[in-house]
Amino acid sequence: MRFVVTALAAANEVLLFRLGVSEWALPAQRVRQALPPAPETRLPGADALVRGLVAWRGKVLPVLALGARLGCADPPAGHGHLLVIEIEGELAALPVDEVLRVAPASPTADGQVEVEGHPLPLLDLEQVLT
Amino acid sequence: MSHESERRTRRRVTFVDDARRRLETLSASLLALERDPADRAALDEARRALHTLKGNAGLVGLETIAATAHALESALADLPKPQTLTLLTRGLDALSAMVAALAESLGQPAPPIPLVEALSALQPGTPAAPIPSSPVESIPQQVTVSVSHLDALLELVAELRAAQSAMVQGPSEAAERALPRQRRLLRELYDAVLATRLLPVSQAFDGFERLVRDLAASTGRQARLTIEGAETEIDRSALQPVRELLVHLLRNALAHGIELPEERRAAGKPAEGTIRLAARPERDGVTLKVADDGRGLDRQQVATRAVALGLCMAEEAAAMEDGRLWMFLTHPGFSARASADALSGRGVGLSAVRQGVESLRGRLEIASRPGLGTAVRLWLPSQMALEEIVLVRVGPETYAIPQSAVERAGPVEEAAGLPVLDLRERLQVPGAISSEGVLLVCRRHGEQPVGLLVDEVAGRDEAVIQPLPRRARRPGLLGAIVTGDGQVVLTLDVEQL
Repeated sequence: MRFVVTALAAANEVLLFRLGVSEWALPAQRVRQALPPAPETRLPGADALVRGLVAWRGKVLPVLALGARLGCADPPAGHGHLLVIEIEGELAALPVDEVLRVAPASPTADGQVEVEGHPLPLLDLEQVLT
Repeated sequence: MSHESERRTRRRVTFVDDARRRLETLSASLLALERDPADRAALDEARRALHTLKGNAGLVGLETIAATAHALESALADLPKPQTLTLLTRGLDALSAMVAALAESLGQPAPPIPLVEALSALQPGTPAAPIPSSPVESIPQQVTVSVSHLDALLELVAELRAAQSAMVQGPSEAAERALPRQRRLLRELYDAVLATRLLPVSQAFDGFERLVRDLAASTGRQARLTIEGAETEIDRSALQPVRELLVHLLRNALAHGIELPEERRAAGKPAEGTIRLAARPERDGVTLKVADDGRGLDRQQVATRAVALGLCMAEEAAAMEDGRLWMFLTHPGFSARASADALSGRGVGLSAVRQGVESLRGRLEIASRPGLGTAVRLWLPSQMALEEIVLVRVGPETYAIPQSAVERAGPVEEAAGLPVLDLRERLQVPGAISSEGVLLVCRRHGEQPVGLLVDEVAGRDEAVIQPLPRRARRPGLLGAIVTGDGQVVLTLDVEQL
């Protein structure tokens, strides 16, 4: 995985990632860090959203099954790259198949974004994960 | 962050600081108008506060706050009628909530505005302003450490270096002794540095005496607060959560505990009720107790409600010992009073306290005697302390159990009449416990020990048990540790498995 830096992202930049067969965009400033695959600890008790836990900088983060919410498959535990984000005041990790790059984007009329000439769906974290 | 957004943030931080002062003033003015509806000076003060707030909010682009302040200002065109005052209080609550939310999003502490709380308490049915997300006048972001403490830290580091040298020199007797020594020294060093984070819990008690007096007075009662053990130290990160918990408990004591003066006199008690707040250090944490000398809890009422909510059967409730019965009060949606009065109208009660305590990995106990009073005791473990843990393997997975909970480990046959929990089943790990499984006998607070069945004891370690992220909390899980190789290991709560 190329090292993707989001710490200095500008407000109009998005992080591009692949989940299943689709490419998505996420405001880059929402991503604290993009991580290579990391060992995940299963959380007992069925929960559609929180599938496990992962350690980051000594902290314990829930791994949220983003794909399940978006209607596609999540990369299995230990396989996907992880996006560390903050949501509802807590840190969480989102597994994705591949982290692509950070790029400038402009909003389109229908709530998507245009990146380098093509439209891409923009992930609204609050809408999907709360 | 770009220059522009930095500037914007700074302007908003300034706005928040000023807004809090305006809201305090507004709150005080509304309180004054509550007492004397003809107080023109208070009216003018309120209008000025709202006007300034509106203007400042507009300047930093906070349209909703500006619009709300404007609406309230219009409502104060003249001396307010009682209904208007109620609306104004709600407006004040809304403004405080907005400012607090803004403060949080800017990463600024948002200290509570005691007068706002007091005023909200006066208005029955007022939607609750969220319990403030920060306590205390700002907790200093720097610590003061005595020189002797620093010297002690340096000594520890020096000893660690010596131990390390012994190991680097290659295998030898000295090297063998050095490893456990290094472990011990690292532990001491960790504890010593952690100790610099401690602050007296009195910092969380700011304004409590007045809060109790004001809240009591607002419902025609008399009550005073006594505080013991205020010098007890806790980790600074626990100050804010502890404050919130105690405010809840104090409110409860006043709403459900302390009776009206006539009732008290008739019962042979002094007209003025007493609420005792006591803090005490324990070996591995602190206990905080809020006790009132009020009417106590009604077994019948609690049992009936518990049965009505389907939490247990009538026969169980009748036979249950007090302590366990009172714990139903911490169930979400449980409210011991049928009608909401000014203080208890919030309906939040002990459920929020229990959740708050659990997020600090603590425990809650309730004791009560009819006619004599109720006491709620919180035990909070030392935050971020290194604890001894036992690692166990259940199937392919590893879990941790605090050493302090484990009495002994032995072969399965030694179960002898103890309740046994098969951890593969309990944790939903596929497969069956191996024939060479181990039984860990664990002590439970106030109950019989329990035997936990695992595949193998995988070792021991020292680690900080972190509370789980909110979304991951489950009964039976105390928290999680992060091992040296970056893995998360769930720590089991023997009490709740």
